[in-house]
Amino acid sequence: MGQNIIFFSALLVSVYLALSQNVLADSYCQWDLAKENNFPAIEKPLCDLKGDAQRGKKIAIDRGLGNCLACHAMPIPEEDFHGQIGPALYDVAKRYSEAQLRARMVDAKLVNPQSIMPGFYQHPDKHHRLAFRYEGKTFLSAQHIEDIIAYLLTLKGQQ
Amino acid sequence: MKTSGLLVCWIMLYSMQIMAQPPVPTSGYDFLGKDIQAIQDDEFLNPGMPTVELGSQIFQESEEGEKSCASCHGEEGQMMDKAKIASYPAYQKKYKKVHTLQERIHACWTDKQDRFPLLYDDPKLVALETFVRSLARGTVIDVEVNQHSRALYEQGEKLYKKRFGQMAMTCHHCHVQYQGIFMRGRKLTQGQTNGFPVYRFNSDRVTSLHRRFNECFVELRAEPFEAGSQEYKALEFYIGVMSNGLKVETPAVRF
Repeated sequence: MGQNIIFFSALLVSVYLALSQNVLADSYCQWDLAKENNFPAIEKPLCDLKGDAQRGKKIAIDRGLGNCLACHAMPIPEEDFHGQIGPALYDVAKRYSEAQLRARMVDAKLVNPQSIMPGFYQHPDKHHRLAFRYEGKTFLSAQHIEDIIAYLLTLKGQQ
Repeated sequence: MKTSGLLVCWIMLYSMQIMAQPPVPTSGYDFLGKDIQAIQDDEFLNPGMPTVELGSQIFQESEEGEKSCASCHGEEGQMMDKAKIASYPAYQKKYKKVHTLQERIHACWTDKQDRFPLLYDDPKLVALETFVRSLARGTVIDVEVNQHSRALYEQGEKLYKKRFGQMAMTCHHCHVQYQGIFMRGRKLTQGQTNGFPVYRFNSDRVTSLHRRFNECFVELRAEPFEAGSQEYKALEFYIGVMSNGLKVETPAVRF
């Protein structure tokens, strides 16, 4: 009887540990910050995912997702109202490497602590007074980030 | 060599001083198109006017045996000091704290008229506030900070410059640093409070300042504070000081 209880509770604990680790691993991929020409850079793709430029363009336009156009002018003439807050992104792939773009997408405050740009893959615990429905969530998923980076890398300025 | 170094130092200090200076207060009115401005200016077209009318009715109502607002302040509120209306939020010696205009009206409501207390941003109070502030239309705003209200002002400044929500932006980013610049289709205004309570086309209603704060917080994907909370009062006070020199436009018309 006593053995049974010990066995059962050990099982419960191990199941709980396995589950909780799974949830954490699913929701947020860790990344390593490096330096490239004195700029913050993240070399490895988030969660080792591969980006798709076509999807990335759609996410950049979507007001509910990336909404990059809110602040940046981009070579997307079919959309009206490009924002003027951030720098234009026509030749962004010429200016920054993939790793530097990733660091800026994950959290622009790594580059400039005063930046207005949201940390699109900032850890959810680091937000202040996050609304209840966004608790534990990043702004964009790791796949979204990789898609946008794949799209940005196509912007070399000749359009 | 020495003099050129001094010159460089002076230029740097001078440019820092220019950058540190707050922007010239500009009303949200100046960010609107001519057609919308015309709607605000026309007493019959202005969609905020029905709320003013409602407020003036409540102003004249009284419960049995009790005084109405009009009993002391005049039938149309003409006995009230316009400059004083434009000076809220203001420190109240009697209550030893800063009152927003709505709180001041509510203090009369409960103390002088002995009516049942209302929650902050109750539609009746918003209507009364809209009516009372509309009496001071065109009066220059003059919100004063004294030694008693200094702490609240500083709390407001802290909140104004704090990042909130998943967007992790501050009020200061949009309304000071990038004011006048386009964010997608919208030109960012200075977020001045001289027009509040304000009629908004977006929500098709007269919106109190604290409700507008809530809407901003939701856009930032942040958990809002409550209407009438200490935090919102501090923000109202801080932005009120920023609005000094502008004219009261209540009920203003905005997007």
